[in-house]
Amino acid sequence: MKPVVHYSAIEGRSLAFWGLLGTFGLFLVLGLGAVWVMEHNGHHVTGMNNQIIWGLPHVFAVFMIIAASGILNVASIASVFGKKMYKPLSRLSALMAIAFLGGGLMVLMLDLGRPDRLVIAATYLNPKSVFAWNILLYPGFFAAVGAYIWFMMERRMNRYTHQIGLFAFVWRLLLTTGTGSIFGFVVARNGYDAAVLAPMFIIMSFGFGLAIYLLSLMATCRWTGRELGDSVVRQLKNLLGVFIAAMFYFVFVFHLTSLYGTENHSFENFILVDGGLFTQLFWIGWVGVGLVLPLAIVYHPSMSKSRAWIGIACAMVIAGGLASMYVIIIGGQAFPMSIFPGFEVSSSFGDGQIASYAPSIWELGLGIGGIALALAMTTFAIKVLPFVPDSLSDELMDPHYTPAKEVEVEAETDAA
Amino acid sequence: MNEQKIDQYRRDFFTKATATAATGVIAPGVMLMQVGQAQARPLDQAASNKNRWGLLIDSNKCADGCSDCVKACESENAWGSGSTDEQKSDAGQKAQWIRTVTLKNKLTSKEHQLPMMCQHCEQPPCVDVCPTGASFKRADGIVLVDKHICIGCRYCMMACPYKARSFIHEDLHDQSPDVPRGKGTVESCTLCVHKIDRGDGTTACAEACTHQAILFGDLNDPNSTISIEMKKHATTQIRADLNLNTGVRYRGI
Amino acid sequence: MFAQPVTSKWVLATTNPANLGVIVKQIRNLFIFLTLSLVMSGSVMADSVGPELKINRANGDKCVLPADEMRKDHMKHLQHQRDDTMRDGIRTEKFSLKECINCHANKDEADKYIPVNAPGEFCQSCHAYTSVKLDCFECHATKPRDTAFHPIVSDKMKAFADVHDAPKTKSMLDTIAAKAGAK
Repeated sequence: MKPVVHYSAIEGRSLAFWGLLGTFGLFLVLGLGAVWVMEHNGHHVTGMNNQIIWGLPHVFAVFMIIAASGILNVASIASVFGKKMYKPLSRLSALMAIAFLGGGLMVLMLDLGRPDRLVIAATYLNPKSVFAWNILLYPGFFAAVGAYIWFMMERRMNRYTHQIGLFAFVWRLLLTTGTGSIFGFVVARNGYDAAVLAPMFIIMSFGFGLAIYLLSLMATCRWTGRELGDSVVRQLKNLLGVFIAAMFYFVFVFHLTSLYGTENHSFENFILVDGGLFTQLFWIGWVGVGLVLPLAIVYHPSMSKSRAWIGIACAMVIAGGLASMYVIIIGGQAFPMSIFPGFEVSSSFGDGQIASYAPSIWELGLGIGGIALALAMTTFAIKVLPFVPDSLSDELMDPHYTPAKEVEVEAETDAA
Repeated sequence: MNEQKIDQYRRDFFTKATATAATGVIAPGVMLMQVGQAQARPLDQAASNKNRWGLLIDSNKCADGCSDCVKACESENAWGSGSTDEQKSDAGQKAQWIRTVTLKNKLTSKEHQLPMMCQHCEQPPCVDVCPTGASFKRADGIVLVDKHICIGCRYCMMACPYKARSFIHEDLHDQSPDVPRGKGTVESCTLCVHKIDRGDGTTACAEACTHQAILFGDLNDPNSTISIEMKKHATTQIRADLNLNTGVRYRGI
Repeated sequence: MFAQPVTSKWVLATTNPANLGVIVKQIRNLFIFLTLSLVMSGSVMADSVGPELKINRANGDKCVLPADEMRKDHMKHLQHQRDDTMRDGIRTEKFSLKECINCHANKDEADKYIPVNAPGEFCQSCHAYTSVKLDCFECHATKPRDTAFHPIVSDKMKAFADVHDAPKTKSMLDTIAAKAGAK
């Protein structure tokens, strides 16, 4: 009989552990300090203005929210699609999904003009608002994934894991669709008005989520000395490759559709050719660092066998993801709205002009604070509850495992 | 500074008005404007959907370089030059309820200008997207922000096809009692709702336009000047493709 | 790991199901305490507690409701009025915040209005005493303003127009005045 996977909380007493948690905590505190500055002074201290309405905080928040639902994918593959190999990976996946949604929401909520009125967002709901749908979807996600974790950890509830996993999976699709639709339903702006944004956000969530998960898993196993077999890494990195390819496809289709209609030519020209920073971020950040290079790494014959390179590929997907959010969110606003087609327009309110945006340190601080919160939550949670398997060795994880190496070693000893 | 100007203006007004009254002459050839289109509604009566307030803006009459409507709005609603606030905000962060937009024909280079403000749509995208319902449309068609429940998410600004809305980026202290506005909330043209409720029957911009380019009135009343004018002349909505049925209509774009 | 030593009696009680009785007792005590404090606060006459208020008696000696009702319920009325005004355009004056300010804003030696939320002023003194955040004036004007020239001009114009059946706009008056001057 195959050995069973055991989970345990990490020891978490070392200086390194507290150092790590302290570092995350420090960034979180710095982020909250930035919030204090922003809220005390008003948004005039930020780079945001009446043209760039949503700035860097939204880049981080949207990235984290869609990544959160993507992280849950690993668990969904086990419970919904019945892949046994992914089962031991599920608990951490669900935990990080909650942590990243929490971090993303923190950023989103603290960037509000009146975060003190947050409760109003729950007590007054406009049923027609996509944002309000999201406000309902977020707590639903916490509840569903929370219950999912409970069902996985509580032996008596184990048999319902499939059902709750399915529910959480459907919920996460709704959540990402909702997040994508926040932008996709904005008919006024050339850069947003596309139904393809919602499915594109779902595919992006797959990619970002898996990259974050794989990187965190490798770090966790390495720093806690738990074995992580090649078969797990290989499967996850291959899956990452598929997701990157799918993201590539969606980016291609998105811009192809846009390019086809003459009305969007100037917007496409702005993003793809002469948008300055946005064009650079698109080609170098989003396409180069976020798609082409990591795709090359995960399918490269030798690089793809190196954990270091796989880690770099994951980091690239994450960096490219942030760049893609910047291009979509900020670029979509910087490009002037077409209010009077056929005319060259000018005014004191930025009509007809590319809006400029210089993010402030406070916005960056808030965004990084959100990521720090997610990582701190994860780090702390794996210390107090058994989220991480004791071992993810090939022996446990690979159905075709044959202890080939040991045989060789024996043979060598014999020869000696 | 500003108050001095106002006082000066008031003095001028009274002198001239008295002079006119004393001579008792209304110069011939001056067209009489229809007054009292909007009777004052009793204070305790709610705005009703029998009215739909709107503006008809004739960009042919709008004089190049003139910004009287903007100035009037600023002083009436206490933003921009009408208030001592928003000193810390940079140019892109300062509120603008109304602006003049210059349109240049790409083919002929012919330029003309027109004032832009909240278009008071019948189907306002800002109202659709607002998560709390702070963005709302009054029964008489005026689109407003309820700043008591606005959380400052700025989604309405993202959704507005006219860029009509502004966000307040800092603390304010110099508001008009009739026009509350404050940090962290979104605002836009109110169609001088306080003046309408008071029965002024006009807006500050319409009142101040010396070229009669802005006409205020009730789109639901077939006998109002605005309705009559709109029946007589071809008018357009900005971004009519969005099918929002705006309350602000234009001639001569 | 998870169960840290707990010190609070309340937490101890809740973590142990056997202590259900304790919880019930605690809740009951809380109710008694709250009720008592409510009764007490009601019975102590408000005149004897709280800060001394600067009230401008020149504007009349009576508020729209008796003082103790206003103390207790001013926010209820203001909030009700706020929604009526905001949503429906009902602008009755009795509970209008603007009217509150018109009456309760005091002037300094230089005959300039002092904001009602300045320290020691009508609104602020009570709210500081009770440590209740005063949120109205994030948006609402804190003093009366008679400088908004358009309403005044338009009111006069309207009166003028009503009497003389004359045009209303500034430009026309300017034109008229110019022509009158030319003659």
